[in-house]
Amino acid sequence: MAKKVLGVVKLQIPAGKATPAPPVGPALGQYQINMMEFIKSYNEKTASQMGTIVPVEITVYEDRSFTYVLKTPPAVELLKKAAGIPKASGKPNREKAGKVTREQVREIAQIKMPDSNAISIETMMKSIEGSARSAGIEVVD
Amino acid sequence: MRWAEIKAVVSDESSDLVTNILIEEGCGGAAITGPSVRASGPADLSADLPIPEDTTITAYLPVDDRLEGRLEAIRTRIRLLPETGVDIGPGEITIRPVDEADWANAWKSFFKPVLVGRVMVKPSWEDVQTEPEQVVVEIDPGMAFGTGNHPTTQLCLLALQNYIKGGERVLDVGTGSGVLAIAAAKLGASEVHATENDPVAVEAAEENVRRNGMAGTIHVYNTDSPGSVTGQFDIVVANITADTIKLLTSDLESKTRDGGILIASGLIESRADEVILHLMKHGFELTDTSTDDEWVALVMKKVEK
Repeated sequence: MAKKVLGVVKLQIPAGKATPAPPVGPALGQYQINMMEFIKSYNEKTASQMGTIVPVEITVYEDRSFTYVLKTPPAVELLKKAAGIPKASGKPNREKAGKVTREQVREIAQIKMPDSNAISIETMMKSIEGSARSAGIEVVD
Repeated sequence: MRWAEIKAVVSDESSDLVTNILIEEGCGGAAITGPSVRASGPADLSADLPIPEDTTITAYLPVDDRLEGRLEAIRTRIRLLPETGVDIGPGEITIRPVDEADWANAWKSFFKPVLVGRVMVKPSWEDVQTEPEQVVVEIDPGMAFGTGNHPTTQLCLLALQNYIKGGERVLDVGTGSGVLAIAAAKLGASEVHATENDPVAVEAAEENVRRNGMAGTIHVYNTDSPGSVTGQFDIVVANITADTIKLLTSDLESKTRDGGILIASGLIESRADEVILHLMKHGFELTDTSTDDEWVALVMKKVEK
């Protein structure tokens, strides 16, 4: 049965390592749902992706029950992994932090397609290349 | 503990980049609301909330010596994003101090009494009418796991009711709030030992044991190695996770007596077969499985040598 929605929030948190500390505590605490139940479930389902950020969209209903959907890691996170760097550039226009190949951009675009409303892989690649530019990661052929 | 709450109002297209900056500069993650964050599940979309125009990212940093430098780095990096061709929208950043107490207890008001088989798990702050044959477990979970509301806790509570006849020695691995250990003792186990690696949970478990008048029967240990508890047990219950069960298999095996029972839960369905096979390689045979929603509890018997 359809239920009235009290709130929707996306969390970007490290896979397998959610705790009641911020941002999880304050984000879920305000809806008075049982956050320990969420934390246990999220950590179990994301354990295999430890070391990366796995976003999760949580829908809280009027009766304080909730459902959640795991998303693919953010493009910038996948770009850093592909470039083998821990951090994006602090001055992306002046200092490059790393490089990825166009082929890697294509792979990332493929991973991201299910979560996006991009009409083609090329459109998605354009958007990934934009993220690379803003993170100071060069795209090379 | 004091925290600095950082709120950034930005365009949807820049939200992942801004979130990345916040995380790289020390935030333990971020909470995001905005036009692309939509309800799912059994949501009544006709009664959906208004869709916000901009994206709001909320993240937190501990108030310490590094705070000022980190905030400066965050502001600078967000300010430089438009130079790379991304429209960051309003780009407003506000910071305010918050106190941990503001949220730590907020969810408690939704922990309601729950009857699982004949075990009634109830919050310590609520009165409830019970039948004479029911066993009451009173819990204040604090920041620990185990209110009796989660499917895996319920599956374990049902299994304990099936296998405790009276007089058993029980080991509860990863006791959390202590809910399973207390239920085991109240169902008739003569001795219950409970291990837990999180000191905050140990405190909660010890308090709950006392609250239920079971301090003479239940011993709580702050350890990540259940193998360090002396003796063997008729029933070992581990409501943890698939990976932890696999990690602790040799301890679970050595602590279960020959012919004894291991109740393993905290598993999602997709990982059950893998855990069953793993335990079968380590001296257990499958006696029973039960499921609730996507969660599974396994009852494994240790093969007699």
